Amino acid sequence: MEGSFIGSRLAIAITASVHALFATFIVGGMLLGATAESVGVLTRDERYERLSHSIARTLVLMSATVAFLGVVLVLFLTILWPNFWTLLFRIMFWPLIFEASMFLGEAACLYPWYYSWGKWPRKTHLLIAWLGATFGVVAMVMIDTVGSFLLTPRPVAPALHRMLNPSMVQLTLHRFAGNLSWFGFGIAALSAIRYLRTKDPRERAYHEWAGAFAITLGFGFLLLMPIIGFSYLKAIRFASEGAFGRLMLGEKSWIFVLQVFLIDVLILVGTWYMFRIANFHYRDNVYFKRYRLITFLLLAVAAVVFVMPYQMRYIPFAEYFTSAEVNPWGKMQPNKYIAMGVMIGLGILNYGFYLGALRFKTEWGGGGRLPQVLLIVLGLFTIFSMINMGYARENARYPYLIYGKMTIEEEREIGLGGGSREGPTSRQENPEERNRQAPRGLEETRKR
Amino acid sequence: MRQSIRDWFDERVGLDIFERMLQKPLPKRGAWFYTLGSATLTLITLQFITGAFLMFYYVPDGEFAESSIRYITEQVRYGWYLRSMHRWSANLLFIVIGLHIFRVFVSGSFKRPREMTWIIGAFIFWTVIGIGLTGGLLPWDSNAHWIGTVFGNTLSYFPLVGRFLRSALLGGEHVGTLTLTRFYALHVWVLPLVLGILITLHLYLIRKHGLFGSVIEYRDQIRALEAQGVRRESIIVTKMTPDETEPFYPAQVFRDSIIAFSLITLVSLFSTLFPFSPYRGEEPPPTRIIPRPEWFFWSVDEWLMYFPGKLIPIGLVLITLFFLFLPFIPFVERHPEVSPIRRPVSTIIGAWVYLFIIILAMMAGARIFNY
Amino acid sequence: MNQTAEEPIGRRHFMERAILSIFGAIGVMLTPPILGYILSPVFRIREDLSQSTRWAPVAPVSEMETVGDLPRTFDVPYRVKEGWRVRETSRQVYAVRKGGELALFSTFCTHLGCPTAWDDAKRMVICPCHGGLYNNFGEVIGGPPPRNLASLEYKVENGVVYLKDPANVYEVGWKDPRKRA
Ligand code: HEM
Ligand code: FES
Repeated sequence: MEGSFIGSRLAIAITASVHALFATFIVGGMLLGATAESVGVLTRDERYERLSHSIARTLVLMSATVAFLGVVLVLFLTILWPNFWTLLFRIMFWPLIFEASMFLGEAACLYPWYYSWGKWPRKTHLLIAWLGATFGVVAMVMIDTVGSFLLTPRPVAPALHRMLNPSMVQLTLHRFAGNLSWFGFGIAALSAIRYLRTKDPRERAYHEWAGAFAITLGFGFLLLMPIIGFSYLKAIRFASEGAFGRLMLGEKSWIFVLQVFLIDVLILVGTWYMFRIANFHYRDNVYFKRYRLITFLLLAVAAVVFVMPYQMRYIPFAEYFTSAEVNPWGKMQPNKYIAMGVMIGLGILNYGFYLGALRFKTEWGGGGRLPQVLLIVLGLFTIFSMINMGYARENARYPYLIYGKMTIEEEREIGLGGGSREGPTSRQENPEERNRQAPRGLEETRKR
Repeated sequence: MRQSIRDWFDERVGLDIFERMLQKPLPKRGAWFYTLGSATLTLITLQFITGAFLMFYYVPDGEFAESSIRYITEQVRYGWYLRSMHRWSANLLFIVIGLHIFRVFVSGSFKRPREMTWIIGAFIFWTVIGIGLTGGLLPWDSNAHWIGTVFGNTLSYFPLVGRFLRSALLGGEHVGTLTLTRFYALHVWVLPLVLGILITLHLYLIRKHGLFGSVIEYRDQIRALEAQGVRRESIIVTKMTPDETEPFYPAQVFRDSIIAFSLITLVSLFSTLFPFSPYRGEEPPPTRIIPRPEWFFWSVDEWLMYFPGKLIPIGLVLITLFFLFLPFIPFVERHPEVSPIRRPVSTIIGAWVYLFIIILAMMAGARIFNY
Repeated sequence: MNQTAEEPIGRRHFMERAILSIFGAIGVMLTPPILGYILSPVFRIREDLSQSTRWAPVAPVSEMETVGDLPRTFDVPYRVKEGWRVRETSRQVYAVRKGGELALFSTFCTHLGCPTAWDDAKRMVICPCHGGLYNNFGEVIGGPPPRNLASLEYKVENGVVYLKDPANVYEVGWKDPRKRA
């Protein structure tokens, strides 16, 4: 019985995260595809047309998978965690129904968008694309109300408060920017793979260009992510103090250290890629080399400061290197803020330089293998960080399923875990105690 | 009869100037976007009118301000309506100004020779923000009190001059009797006067230069000049061919009137459906007061939140620099290209800034709604 | 410009200078008085404060005795002189027992001065504006505040606890300018 309960958690977790990974890809993809097509119409540049067409093909291939995974997820939830699912469905009936119908709407736009390519009048075609993107975004907002409710629930009535719970807006924005960023990096990695597999110079030119274009979106939205994430964590701290403590200060804090490491890598590798691509434009500028060197040094220092863990004892395998429980250098406040500011500030600056150089880039396809490898690295790390974030989010609520309202234990009692209902005692021991740390004081970190 | 009256005035006032103004050619393309400026003007006029009448009953004194507002909203006939109009139209004004700036930026209309129009526009923007800020204090309820406090304390973080600024603005170390009269004077007289002068200049300059056409037409013109060997920096594109334009009167005035009508209807509708009441129920005990800034300051509020402890002045200086930077935009982007698609860097940066501001405001809104 | 023979360059030059000086003089006559007029309250802060309540009663000692190591909020009424008016108002302070001693500290968040409140469920002092968090002794544990809640001076007289200088709101910002570092 014990085994099957853990198995149920695992099954749900895996389906949910893969479903989320694909679903976010589709939302980002609809938006980016529609944007690319519109830009193509405005600039009359055929590459955008081709890009949006191939995006559409990718999405068509994917959306069936997403629908399948969604159905499997719902099945799993109904079978394995009936108690939780009934409760959640009751609370969130309308958002969930709305979400499903919006997804339907999105799919209903996606297929005609792909299959009517070149057949329908331009305006109708664009309209369909943007309509589908809008549906996708609305579906995402709806599922975010549900997701954020799990972590930061508010009194169920009135409905407005239930929907606009403390972390709802932040989660939505985080996902919105995140989807676009993720999709940008994902498409860039795909074009990099195609680039590496072809020898045809015309194809290479196109794929290199597509990667560079996708990075303008991926990196641009990546820069927003830490800022939104900051506000998001603040909202969690306000509403679900225990979850925040578990995630940022407690035993799961290593997940976040890992996440910061991934962000570091994304920013550093992204910058490297941008410099490689922009190099042709600034090559003759005497200051450019110096600037590049200084940027990388600053970024590296900032990255190291940013990733510096405080709670060493919770990091897996750390005991092989050090016996310290906490970082002897302290919490590095406010240096971490400064580090984050430096990374975002330099990121914006370099992004500007990159855009400025792209304007003048006319020869594509001769960039060599390195930038493409960087793109693939970026894509992989993005996937990694998406999964990591999902894991962090779901683990933060442990041992609750709905924070402060329903624990995993309660599901086990009624659901798969077998009929050992011991009455209200198990409910009375306040699960929040497990997350609460020793008496509050200056001890408590001021980490973001 | 009409003709003779016209002649009488023409002789004494010189109507021909105005007639020439009305005949000024305007670009046909994108004409609806050009109504944003006059929409702003409509709302500002509405502000002037409703504000002037609110002054008939309002008393700018710490003891009576709140009661006088209550009197206006509860006893004076249509007082609630005027007050709600004033507030709703202020809210709308910020949206419309934001859109107007965006359209001017995206269409590159701030470029030579229209730099001064933009610069004065930026001054207008500062003034409007100042009016919004000072107006927030006049209801003088506890929320207003805390808004003033937070504002003053924000100023006090400016390096070197901070404390002085706070005392100079608040008329003391904290929000009190003297603060209200100051903010009142600024809100109803000093800043509106400045605004009036600036708007006059703005409109004069627009009439002088004519509106920028919807840009795409100029591309060929620029190309042709470049082909003749003219340096890009020295190309001025102002001329439009007659078939690209139409006179201001009546086509554009018609559009403007439609927009003005819709806006005022909207404001009036909002004021009737969601009037501002002076009290949010009973006055809550002081500990439970949650200061709520006006939504147009949300993004600033959120921005400052990202700079904790010793870093506060950095955030403050950065945001001040952002506002100070606005008038310099025409000098940063100097090339004559105006099409948003052909200057993608500016378009992307502009869109990014707007997106950023909106995201900040949304997050602050969520925070304020839930705290 | 139309310079005629009768108008020698010297005259014109003189008039230009004169115009400048006239307007300069007008400016000099107007500006300093206006500046002084506007800034007058800034220079009078100290004077106003000296005419405000110096010691405001908080609560009888017997009541303070019941305060434990979780902060309790007290209303402190006082008079403050502002310009031409003396105003009756009140503020709040936290009282807490710290190491056996009574300690009073401010309710004003050190970040931007919002009114904080003690949250019993979360066992923290919470600032509603930007989520500043303090522990029961007013020490920062999270959020943007730059320093701990200001601790306030008090005295005990005739069985009543008095708060010093309640009108002197120097409790926001990095440091208290009254205390020389
Ligand atoms: C009270 C606020 C304002 C009013 C009443 C106002 C009014 C107007 C009007 C009526 C026009 C012509 C119609 C149109 O283009 O929409 C205009 C154009 C313009 N405005 Fe404003 N405006 C205001 C604020 C601003 C601000 C804040 C800026 C910039 C920072 C700005 C920059 C410009 C520029 C550069 C033009 C010329 C556009 C062109 O020639 O195509 N204005 N304004
Ligand atoms: S005023 Fe308290 S956190 Fe900002």
